[in-house]
Amino acid sequence: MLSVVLPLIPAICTLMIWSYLYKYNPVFKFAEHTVVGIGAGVTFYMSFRTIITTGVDPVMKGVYFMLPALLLGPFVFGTFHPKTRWYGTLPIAILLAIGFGLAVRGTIIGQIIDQVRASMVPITTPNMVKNFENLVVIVGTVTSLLYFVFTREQKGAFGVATRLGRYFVMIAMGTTYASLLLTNFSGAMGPMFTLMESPGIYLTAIAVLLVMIDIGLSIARKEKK
Amino acid sequence: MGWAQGIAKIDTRWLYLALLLSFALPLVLPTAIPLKISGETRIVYDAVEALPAGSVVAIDVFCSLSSVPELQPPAVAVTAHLFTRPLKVVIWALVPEGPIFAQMVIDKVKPEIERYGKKYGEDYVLLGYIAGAEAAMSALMKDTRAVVTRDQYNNPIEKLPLMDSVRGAKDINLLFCWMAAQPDERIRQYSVFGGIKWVPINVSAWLSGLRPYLEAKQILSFVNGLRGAAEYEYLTKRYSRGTASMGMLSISHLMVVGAIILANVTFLYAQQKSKRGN
Repeated sequence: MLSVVLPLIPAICTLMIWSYLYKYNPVFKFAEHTVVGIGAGVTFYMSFRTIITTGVDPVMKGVYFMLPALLLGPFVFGTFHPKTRWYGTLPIAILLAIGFGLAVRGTIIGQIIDQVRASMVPITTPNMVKNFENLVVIVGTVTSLLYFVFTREQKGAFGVATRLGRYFVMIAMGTTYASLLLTNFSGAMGPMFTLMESPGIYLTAIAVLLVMIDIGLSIARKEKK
Repeated sequence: MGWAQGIAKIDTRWLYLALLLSFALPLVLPTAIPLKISGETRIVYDAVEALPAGSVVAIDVFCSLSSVPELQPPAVAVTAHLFTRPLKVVIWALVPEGPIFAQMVIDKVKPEIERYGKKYGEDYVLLGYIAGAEAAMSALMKDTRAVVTRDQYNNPIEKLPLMDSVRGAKDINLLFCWMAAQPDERIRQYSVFGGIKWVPINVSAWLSGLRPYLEAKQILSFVNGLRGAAEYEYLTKRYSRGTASMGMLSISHLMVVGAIILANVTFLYAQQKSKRGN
């Protein structure tokens, strides 16, 4: 029995979610809530397991440097009540400080210095195509940055440069949008294999039949009115 | 302005139906789509081929389950390739759903694991979910054992022989990241402070965000979503969903490009018409 039902579950769930494309309905609502519930359950389990394996286990083995973190953890729940809110700020402040410190040290080198260095490219190499590509990088970087200078009115030669910068920003946004579209399509293609291969194909046929019946009934209702 | 109005009033559900048909059609009537291997995918393939025997390859799973349809084909293609070579593979996840995805991929490459006699604990290890995001990455690079005490199946880390030789960034020869988010955190921790050669296996949405890091040589290269999967499958001659998706991808994109052109022509025509009317 299980060997028949289990392969059908992905197809059933996909059809339940995709039924939203036809119209908002209780089946979709059920699937939506199930996804949220399972997601929350998995996150809770994984987080709880992490506390046990990386916090409680080492302390039980005599590694006490994790003890302050374990003791500070429950303080986070203090934020739920106005009288104990202050206690909750302590672990959050520590987390923020560590996160900020870790991010800043890498940002300066990895995302500023290295990126500036990468945009310093030669435009007098024997390869003319490469020269043109490098020129586009330089002009694009400089004019895009100029576009975000708002302390001076954007007119004259400066205005031409900022307009060029705006075009570069628009091209970059267009590229990002196209990439995003590709990702969303890819997300729909995976379940398509489930729906078009056996046993999902049978459910797909039933779903199409149900949609057709519903369309027919709604047309009949309209004509009756 | 009749036809323009007609197009503007089309029920969006017809477009959804057309899109679903464009996905389904290539599955019913498969057609061969010519495929050019990109330089980026070839670099990744060559990098894996060039790794000496016994090298350690780490995989960082950083994607939600909603990204599985796009990320699973390239992840399976690359992981299967790793298991065909005499390499050691360590997988960790920095999102709670990560271990589920990692297990799904391992199940898909079971034929390679069995054919090449790979043993759990000696040739590959699944470390499971590690909480802490950027702080966890930093800690993993310095001392793996400080953040991992048990693996995905609850085995103590001391009982996994592979983990004796993997203590931090210095022991990792190549790092992959199955990634459905921006690469900034990894650039900061893996590239700048870990000094590791790393390769994003990314969803296409982040392709434009990765280019600057590739130009700056902060990442080795990347495998871009389904397209990257199809290219990798071609290189490894292990044809699967990546290759099968290319027909769907081409036809659905042609349909969307057509719809965008039609919508813009309609909009411009309606605009001109109303100007003349005024």
